[in-house]
Amino acid sequence: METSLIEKYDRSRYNLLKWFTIGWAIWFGGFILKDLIQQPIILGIISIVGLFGWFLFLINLTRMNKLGKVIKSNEGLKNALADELSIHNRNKSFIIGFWAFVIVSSVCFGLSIFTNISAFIVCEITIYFGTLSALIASIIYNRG
Amino acid sequence: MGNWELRNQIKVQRAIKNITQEELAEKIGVTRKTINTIENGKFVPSTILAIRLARYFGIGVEDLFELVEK
Repeated sequence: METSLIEKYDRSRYNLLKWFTIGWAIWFGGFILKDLIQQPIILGIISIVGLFGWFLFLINLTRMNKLGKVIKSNEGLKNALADELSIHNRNKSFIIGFWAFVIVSSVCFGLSIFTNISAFIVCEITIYFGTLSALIASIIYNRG
Repeated sequence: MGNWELRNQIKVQRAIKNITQEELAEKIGVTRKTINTIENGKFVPSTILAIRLARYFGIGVEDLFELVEK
């Protein structure tokens, strides 16, 4: 049986989201680690892996934009891919991202009582975990 | 959803019409996942979607969906 256009684009979108998330996790994770680690060899490895993550992130960001343009050009496809389940899942993912953001920033605040933490690191960590948890939640909710 | 469960006859109606979830999704204009989660009782559709599904099968909404107290 031929796969419908909606199903085809839904699968493409899901796969792009997965690779985008992996790219983000590697790239931004490495970006944070390079501020926390001093050993030159480990820093070198993190930089190379981080660069790979950055390419993965950038390629999939570009592909997502292209896919978004194709979807927007077809009204029926756009409505089907933004159906109520998709909106429901997106809202749930945003809520998870919000709570991850609150929890991580609260932990950082708690730690700051006992030790000095750079505001830059706190911002990096909260952005990283807030975004990553929302992306992972979106992957989990939209699978299948 | 609290003590209530929304049961449906989508699988039965699909079998009568001999169509797959993917085909039904295309006719209604939603994703296959939406049909699948509604059919399995994991997602409660909006009134609009429930009416559209019932219209497609040519039956009443309450023939397609049944609210049962757990």
